[in-house]
Amino acid sequence: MEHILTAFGDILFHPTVLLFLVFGVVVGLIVGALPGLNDTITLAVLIPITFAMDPKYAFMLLVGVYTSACYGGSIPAILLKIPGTASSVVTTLDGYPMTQRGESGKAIGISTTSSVFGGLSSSLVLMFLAPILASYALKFGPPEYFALAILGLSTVAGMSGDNVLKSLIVCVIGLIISTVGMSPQTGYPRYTFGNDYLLEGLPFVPMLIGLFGVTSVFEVAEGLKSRVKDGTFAKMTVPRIGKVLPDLAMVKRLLPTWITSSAIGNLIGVIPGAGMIMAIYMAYDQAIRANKDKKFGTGVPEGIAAPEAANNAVVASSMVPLMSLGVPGNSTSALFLGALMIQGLRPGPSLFQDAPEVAYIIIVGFFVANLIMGPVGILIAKFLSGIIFRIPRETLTAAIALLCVTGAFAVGNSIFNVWIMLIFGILGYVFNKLKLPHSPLILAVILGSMMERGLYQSMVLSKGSLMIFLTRPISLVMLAASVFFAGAPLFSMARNRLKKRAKRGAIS
Amino acid sequence: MLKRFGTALCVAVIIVALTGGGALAGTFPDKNLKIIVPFAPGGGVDVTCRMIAEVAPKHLNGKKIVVENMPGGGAVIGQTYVAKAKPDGYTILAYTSSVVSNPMTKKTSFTHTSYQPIAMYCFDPEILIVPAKSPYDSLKAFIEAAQKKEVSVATPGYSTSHHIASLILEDRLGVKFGYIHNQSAAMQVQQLLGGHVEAGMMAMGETTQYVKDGSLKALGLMIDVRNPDFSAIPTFKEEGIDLVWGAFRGLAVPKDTPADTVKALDEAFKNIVADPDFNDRMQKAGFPVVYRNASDFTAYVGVVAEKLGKILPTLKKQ
Repeated sequence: MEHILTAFGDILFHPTVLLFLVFGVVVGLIVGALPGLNDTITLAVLIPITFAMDPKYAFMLLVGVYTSACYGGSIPAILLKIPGTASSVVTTLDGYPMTQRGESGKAIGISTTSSVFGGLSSSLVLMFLAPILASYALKFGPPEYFALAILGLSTVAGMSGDNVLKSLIVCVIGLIISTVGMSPQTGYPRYTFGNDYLLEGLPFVPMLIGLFGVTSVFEVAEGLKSRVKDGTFAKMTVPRIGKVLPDLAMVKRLLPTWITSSAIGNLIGVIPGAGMIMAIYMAYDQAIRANKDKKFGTGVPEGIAAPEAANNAVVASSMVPLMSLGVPGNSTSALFLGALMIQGLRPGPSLFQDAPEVAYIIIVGFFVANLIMGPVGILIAKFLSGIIFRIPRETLTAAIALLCVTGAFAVGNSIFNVWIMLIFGILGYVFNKLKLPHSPLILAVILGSMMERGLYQSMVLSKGSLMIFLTRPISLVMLAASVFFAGAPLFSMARNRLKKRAKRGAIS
Repeated sequence: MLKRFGTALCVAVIIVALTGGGALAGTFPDKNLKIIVPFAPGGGVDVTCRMIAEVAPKHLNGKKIVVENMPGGGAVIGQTYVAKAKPDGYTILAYTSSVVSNPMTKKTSFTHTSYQPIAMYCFDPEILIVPAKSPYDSLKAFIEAAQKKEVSVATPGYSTSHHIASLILEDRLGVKFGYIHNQSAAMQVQQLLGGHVEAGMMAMGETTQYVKDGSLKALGLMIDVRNPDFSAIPTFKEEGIDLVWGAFRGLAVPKDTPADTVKALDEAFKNIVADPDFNDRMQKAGFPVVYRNASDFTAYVGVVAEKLGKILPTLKKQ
């Protein structure tokens, strides 16, 4: 406790330390908002700059970037239907419809407050529950990861509403895409057609940029011709941003969603390698289940609150295994490991004895960064949306197209990624025409490889017996939960059909 | 407006052409160099290359080194890029063990001889590690167990140098391991700490903290003589298994690079690796600095390739 208070003092009463944190938050917001740039890339570029810095300054910078990047991603997701980072994919579903209704300010406000809530919850978890949760994370072995992937996939059934079949088709396409590349167990190349670029599978970020960014460019281009004819070319209403912060009634309404989503985010966050994508989908799925009266996907506030609270809840909690065990929870916290090591510090239990001032300033930094993120975020979002809606849609689209190409290229410095982006742009366009949902595709691509790896590894451990999934309690519980989640909507659909048929039977 | 831009562009091109032409007469290097890291940002190779880049200007006439990540294809993408790059010494590859193993396990347009090694700056010996609660207290106990049953061994990925180390060990002991391949060393550590696997093969540098605080047990190092910093960890040699293996990290340029340029690079990187700032950072981060110059490094890679050539037919070429 004493260390925590000292760390608060270190941050709040030292203008330079605080300045680095604010600077980190601003940088994180901007890179988060740009498709193709994300926290991992930014931290990798910043770490060499931190070599010669005082560790306090260095870590405030990194903590700031990590905290705000996934929130920054929600800004273009809401305003343009283009997620700035993978963690705001789900935010587009309800965020963009709100913008279309002229409620972009309200949507940004919900995203901001939800992110801050989720972020604060996870920084408190990191501060007080780290050792307990770290031992829970260690219980996850190969069978548990397999079961977790199944649990994640089971949310597809819940999210799909009336179109269970369409969602399942898309989900299978995603699973097939996830098998591209070397088999994790035997190294055999699958669907690579002799192309080296495909050996590690299809690159995820260019895929996302294509599905969202390029698809939206195509759609604007499609509408162009008719709009020129009508003479409405380049005319667009500038929505008033208006009041951003949600009122008390809205806060009360969103509170249950925030609590559930933050809990999901924190639990997923402490499991190394599980990741933000799974957290946002599970949170969104739970929000749908808890609000059966609302039509999600049409601009429901809970639809923004759930994923945004969940992804920020993953941020600090992904530092739990790193700080208490020395195992990085994801690629971004792996960079923190690198940064710590370069400063001559070893993460893990010994860090709290060797350099408690650094350990605690990182932990407290996450808390303060979330408090800074709120006001800074609203300021930047207001400024951005002020500009974005004043630019003619066609010009803006050209700029988006440029951003997509450079973003996809920057991920791996290769033209191949640009092709992937274009192909998925076309695929996304076709999906929209056929009214197929994007979400199950993204989820299946991410979880497919985790599921496959978990299955292979479990089979090696159990010498080929499937019982390993049922004899381990955590795995058993997760599998049972997935049967329930996937089965419930199917069951109610079947019952409705039977009822309808019975009714029809009675009439005829 | 456009015309003026065109003129400006022409002038720019001419200036670049002229200064570029001047390079022939000038000393190497007269512009910034580029290290291609064939992995995503944040890994050991990436971090150490960025440490090199940080001290480089002092030893390269003030010119900078820019680190560029080109991940994909199990490092094949970046390696192919440098193999085909202009052999002028300005495009350098982060040259690691996978340059040797990739052509043996995958279809590639290059082999390790497509490059001229410049300098090795790090050698991280292979370590056999088990969970703290493992029943195996010594290398001997582990070997005896492996001869009786299939022991599960975690690696950070298929065909990584750690997987290859385990294959070599399998071959020497005449045993069969159950492989748990992961996507990163982090997942491997998680499985070891949680006791989900029986053993793991890693680079020593990645394990020091866990061995020190007792959360993992080190059974043996694949080195010649005991490491003075870890004198408690026995070598495989002591158990009668003459096996020296580890992950090397170095730098190389395309093979047709002129001899003068290679000489200049050899000289420059000798000074970079000797730089106290660089050594200090490497030591703090737990990367053991081991230097070999261009000719020693070339010879060393040749020996590694020969060893691998014998063992790798087990990793079938697809």
